[in-house]
Amino acid sequence: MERIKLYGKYERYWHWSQFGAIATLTITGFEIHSTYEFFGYERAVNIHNIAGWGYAVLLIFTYFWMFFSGMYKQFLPTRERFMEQLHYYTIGIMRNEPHPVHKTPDNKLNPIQRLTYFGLMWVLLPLQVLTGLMYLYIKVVKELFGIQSVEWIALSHTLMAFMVIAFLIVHLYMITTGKTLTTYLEGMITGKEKTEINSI
Amino acid sequence: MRRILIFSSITKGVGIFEPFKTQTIDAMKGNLKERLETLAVVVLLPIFTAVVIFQFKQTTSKPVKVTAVMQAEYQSAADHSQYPILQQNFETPQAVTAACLTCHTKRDEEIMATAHWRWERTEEIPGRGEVTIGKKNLINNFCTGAQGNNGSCMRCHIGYGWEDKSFDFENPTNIDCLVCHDQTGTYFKQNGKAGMPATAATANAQFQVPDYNNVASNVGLPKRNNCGVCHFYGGGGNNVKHGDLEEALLDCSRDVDVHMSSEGLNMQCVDCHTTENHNIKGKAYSVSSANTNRVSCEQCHTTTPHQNRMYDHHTEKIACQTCHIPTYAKANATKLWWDWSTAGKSKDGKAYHESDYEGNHNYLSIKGSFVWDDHVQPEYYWFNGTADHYINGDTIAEIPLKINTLFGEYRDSTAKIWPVKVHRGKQMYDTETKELMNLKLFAEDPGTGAFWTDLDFDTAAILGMEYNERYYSGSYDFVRTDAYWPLSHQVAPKEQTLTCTECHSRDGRLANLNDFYLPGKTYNAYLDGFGIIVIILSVLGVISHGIGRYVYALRRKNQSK
Repeated sequence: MERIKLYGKYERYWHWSQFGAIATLTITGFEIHSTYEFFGYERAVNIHNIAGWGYAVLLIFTYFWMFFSGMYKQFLPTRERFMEQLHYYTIGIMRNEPHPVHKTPDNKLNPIQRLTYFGLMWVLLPLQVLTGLMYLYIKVVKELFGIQSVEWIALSHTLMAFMVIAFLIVHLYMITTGKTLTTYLEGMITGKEKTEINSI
Repeated sequence: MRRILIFSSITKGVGIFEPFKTQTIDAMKGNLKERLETLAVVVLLPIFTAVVIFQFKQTTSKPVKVTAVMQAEYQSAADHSQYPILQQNFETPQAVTAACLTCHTKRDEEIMATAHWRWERTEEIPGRGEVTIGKKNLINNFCTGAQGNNGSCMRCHIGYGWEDKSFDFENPTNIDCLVCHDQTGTYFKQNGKAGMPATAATANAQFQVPDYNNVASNVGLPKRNNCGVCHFYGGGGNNVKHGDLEEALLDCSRDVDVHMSSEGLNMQCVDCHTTENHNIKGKAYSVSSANTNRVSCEQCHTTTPHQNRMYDHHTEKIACQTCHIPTYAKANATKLWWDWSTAGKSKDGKAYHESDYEGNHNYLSIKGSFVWDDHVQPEYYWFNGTADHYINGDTIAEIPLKINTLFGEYRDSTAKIWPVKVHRGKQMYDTETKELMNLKLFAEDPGTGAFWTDLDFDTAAILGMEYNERYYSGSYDFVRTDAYWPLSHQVAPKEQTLTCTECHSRDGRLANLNDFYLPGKTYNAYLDGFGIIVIILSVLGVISHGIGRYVYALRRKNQSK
C-alpha cells in the first residue's frame, strides 16, 4: 500500500466547488419547481441564478483547464477493459476481487467512469447550464430564436435536474467502494489516495 | 523569457495549473497555448467574476423614487367671484353654462366630442369592425341598460335633461359645467330628473335649488368628489360596479389606496387621468373597446421601476396592477352577483328588501338577488387593451354569456395578465331571438308599466324593447351573464404587494391561466413521474448493491474463521 498524489489542487477545488454549486442549484431548483419550501421562493430564485452563473464560470474555466492541461483525454470513453470493469462492479466487488483498472494521475478514471463523466461533463452539465442561461435570459432567447415559450427549455432543465440527482445518489454511494469506506473521500480531500500495488 | 515568467508566477500564485506545468513546460516555448493560457487567467477570470457580481447586484437595488407634477394642484389664475356675469340672477342651470361659454369659448365643442357627453365612441373591435357603442346603447350586467330609463340613468350624463330621444346633443347650453367643476361640494343633480339639478318646482328636503352664484364663483379642476359622484355610485349604489372605485377613496388610508390616500399623496383622479381639451385619459372596458387614450402606471413609474432585473422582467407579461392590487373593495363591499330572475316578488302587494349580515342588500323586489363581498381577490386574465361587447342584435351562443370580452392570450405580445373583477349574474333574454333585452325599469309614477314601480317583467320588456326599436317575441327566460372589469385603483402599499408564491405555486392565483409555462405552477406530470422513478431506482440500486457487498463481506468473514 502506498499513498500516491492523485488529485491536484485545481481538480479538488473544481470538484468541491462543483459539488457546492450542484447541491445549491438542486436544492433551490426544486424549490422553484414547487417541490418544497425552504429558502422562500424569491431567495431561492436569486440564489439559483447566482449559483448558476457561478457554476457556468467554473465550468468554462474547467474546460480551459482541461484543454490546456490535456486532462480532457482522461474523460474520453474507451472500450478497453470496459467489460472487466462492468464485471468488477457487479460481481468482482462482492467477491473482493482486485480492481481491474489501476489508478494513476494520468488515468484516474476507469472505463465506466470515463463514459459516465464524459456524459456528465460534456453533455449533461453543459446542457444544464445552457438551458439554465436560456431560461434566465428568455427574453433575449425569444427574440433571437423566435420561440414563444420557455416551456421546452424549462422541461428539459427539469428532466436533466432529475438526472443530476440520480447521478449524485450513485456517485455518493460509489465513494464507499474504495479499499475502505472512506478511502475515496480522503483522496478527494487530501489529493492523496491509498492505492494497491498494481497486480498487473 | 518575460512572458514565461509572468505565466509561471500567475500559475504559481493561483496554484491551479500544476499538472499542466509539469507536462507541457517544455513544449510551450513561445507557442500559442501559452498566450491563450495567460489570456484565460488574466482576462477571463476577471470578466466572469464581474459578470457574477453584476448578476448579484441586479437583485439588490432599491426602487426608483417618482417625482410627478400633480395636475390637480393647478390653481386657477382668476377669481371667478369677480366676474359680474356670474353674479346675475340665474333662472336655469343652462343660463350658467351660457355664462361660462362667454369666456371659455370653444370648450363646448371639446366637451361635445367626448364620450362623457355622447355616451358612445366609434371604435374598431377585432372581428367585428368599426362600431359606435357606449353607455348609450350597450346592455350591462347591472341595471341592464340606460336607454328608456333616462330619468334615473341619465342623472350621470354631463348634460341637462336627457329625458328621451329628443335630447339636443348639439345645444351647448345643455352641457352641465358645474357637476365636474364645482368646488363648493354643494351642487348636485337631482335623482330621477335626467341630469337636472333641483328647480323651484322639484326641490325637496334632499335636493335644493343650487346657489348658482356661489357655485359658479368657485370652480376649478375636478376633484375626487366631482368624478366620484358618478363613477363611485354607478349601478345604483356605492361600489356596485367597479369594486376599486368607491366613496372611501374620498378620505382613505394608505392601505386602501397609496395614491389617493389622504394620509399620503392625496392624489386626485385627474393627476393620472390627465386631460387636454376636456379629453380625459382612461378607459373603462365595460364600455370601451380600443387600446387608445389609456392611463398607465408607466406615465410616472416607467417600464423598469423596480431596479431589480427579476421584477422588471415581469412587466413584459404582467400588468403592474396584478401584483400591486392584491385585493379590491378594501373599504366597502362590491356587488359580485346580480340575479334578475328572482326579482318581482312582493309582500302584501308591496316591493320589499332584505339585507345580509353586513347590511348590504341581498334581495330587492325591484332588482333581484345579490351577493356582495369586500377584500375580494381578483381573477386574472390576459388582456391587451381591446375588448368586445355584447351588442344588441348579437345572439347568445356561449353560456355564460360574456357581456364584454377582454382580448388577449399568452402568445399575444401586447397582452399582459390583469387583475379583473368579474361580475356574474342572470338577466332576461328573449327565448326566441336568443338576444338580451332592454327593460323599462324606471318611471316616476306607478301604473306606467316600469318594472321598478309595477314589478311585471313582461310589460317592462315590451316597453323597453319598444323604446329601443327592437323586436320582442313575448317569451323570455334568464341567462347567466358575466362582465369583466379590469382593476387599476386601490393600489396597495409596497409591503402588501403579491409575493412570488401567490402565483409561482401549484394552486396559486394564476391556477386558471394554462396557456403558458409558469415556473412553480406548471409541471409535466409524466416528466416529474419519470424523474421520481429514476431517483427511486437509483436509491434501490445502490441499497441493494450495498447489501450485496455487506452480505459477501460477512460470508468471507465467517469463512476465514
